[in-house]
Amino acid sequence: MAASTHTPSTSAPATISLKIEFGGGLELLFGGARSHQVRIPAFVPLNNSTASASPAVIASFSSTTETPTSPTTLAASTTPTSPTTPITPATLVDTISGSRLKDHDGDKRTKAADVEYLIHYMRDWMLTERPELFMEAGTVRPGILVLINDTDWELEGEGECALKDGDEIVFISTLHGG
Amino acid sequence: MAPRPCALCQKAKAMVKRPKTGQQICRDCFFYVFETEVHNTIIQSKLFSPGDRVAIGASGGKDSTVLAYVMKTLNERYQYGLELFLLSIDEGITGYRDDSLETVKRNQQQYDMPLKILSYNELYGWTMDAIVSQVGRKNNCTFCGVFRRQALDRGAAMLNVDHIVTGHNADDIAETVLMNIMRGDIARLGRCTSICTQGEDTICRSKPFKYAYEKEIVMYAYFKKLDYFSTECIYSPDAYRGHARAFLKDLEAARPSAIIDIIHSGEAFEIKEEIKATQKVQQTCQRCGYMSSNALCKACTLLEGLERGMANSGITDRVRKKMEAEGPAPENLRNIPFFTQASGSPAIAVSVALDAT
Ligand SMILES: [Zn+2]
Ligand SMILES: [Zn+2]
Repeated sequence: MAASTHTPSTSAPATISLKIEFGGGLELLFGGARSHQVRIPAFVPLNNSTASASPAVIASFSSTTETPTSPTTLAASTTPTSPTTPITPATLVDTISGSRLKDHDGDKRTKAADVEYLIHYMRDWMLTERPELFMEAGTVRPGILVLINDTDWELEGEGECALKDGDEIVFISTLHGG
Repeated sequence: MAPRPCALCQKAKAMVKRPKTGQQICRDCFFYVFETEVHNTIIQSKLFSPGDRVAIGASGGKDSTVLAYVMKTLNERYQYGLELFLLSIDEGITGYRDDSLETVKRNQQQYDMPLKILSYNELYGWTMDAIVSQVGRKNNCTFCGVFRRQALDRGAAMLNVDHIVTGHNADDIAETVLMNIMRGDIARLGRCTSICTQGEDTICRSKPFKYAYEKEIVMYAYFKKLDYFSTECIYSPDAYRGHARAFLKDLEAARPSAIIDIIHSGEAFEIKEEIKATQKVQQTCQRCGYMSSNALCKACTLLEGLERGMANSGITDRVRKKMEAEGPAPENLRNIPFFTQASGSPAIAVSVALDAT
């Protein structure tokens, strides 16, 4: 799926397309869909604020083989929804520093999109219930395994792993029954 | 980040970081070390003898699915000479157990093992759905735990097996150690860490995954694309265990060896003789023949409470006293079929094992 859908453009902000898969029951926090295709900016705020990102879940599938049934949001939607509509309340707290995030317009520093940003993005724009079961202290909750292109994220720098177009990220809960 | 080579073969790309050792290894080496460690556990603990009939307690979840796969693999690779069966208990929970049993039925095909399903309804005349509708969601885990334990033993007796293996992993055992310490249940500490438990007249139960980390079991299932079911039981999950689990995961995040350390500390507790003496002597239940520390086993007590509509008032001791106060059990009370233990001679035809449904 490499660069086929990615049209190089100098005017529009560059985005990357990612495939997200859930396992071990974690999909239940994300509307029950096991497979999601999302598009996020290639460069993102250093403080992981997702306020300026528009929800760009291209499609969600309940299984990897299924055809898309109900795309939650269309890609490149013309009118970005207000960032305060999903779960995340207006009181965003930077869980790493513990301080309140500055207004996203105030801090213009950016970084290449990484897994840490993706986790914040997923919480703010994709999660449908109980964010505390997904995220804790700025990262995924202990007991959730993350694989980046089938490699244990502990070998890829965890949250600091930079993402590129076409990457596949798998989140598996180990906390559900044996 | 530049791909690192595997610490074992030095060739392939490392894909897993082992929680126990921090070693970074490739997929094939991971399969090999995971399977070999389980094999070493089996050999060092002398779990089986050639010709043993072994039932794998199968729930359709990750642990028992991986256990069935690994037991089959090791039995063939090292010629253990075991006859393997899948044994599932159907608690009768609509939307949960019925779905996970579908997974077990697929495992039966995939692993080519005979499957026996024993239901609460068949054994006790009550499904968990019916129990919950009478007792509510607060105490239902007590019923389920007592009924499951006896059902597994009885299913194993029907299969005439020598041994039941369950998918309890290192995380589960560490969690149980923590819970027993927090409850002050020192008598149970020793038993919960032992790899194999055998009651007076029960079939041996053991845990070949005693030293296998949950992370590795889940990684193994993921890389092998094993078919497992993962949904929490719809009835009130054990909240106490849930907290112990979250605590353990936090400890593990800070220090991965915490899980093995806790198991070792559980093993290190020695039970003094006087404490052992206060543990009750095993006898058999006068109503159903199952082993029991009282005249009536826990399952019969709970069942009588259900049948007499008194299960709400509490659990076991209190219920028993109340029922005794109200006079003897009515004649028409539903009973659990009398338990006859497997004693060398197959009491029940082996063909029940080939439950093809
Ligand atoms: Zn290797
Ligand atoms: Zn009994």
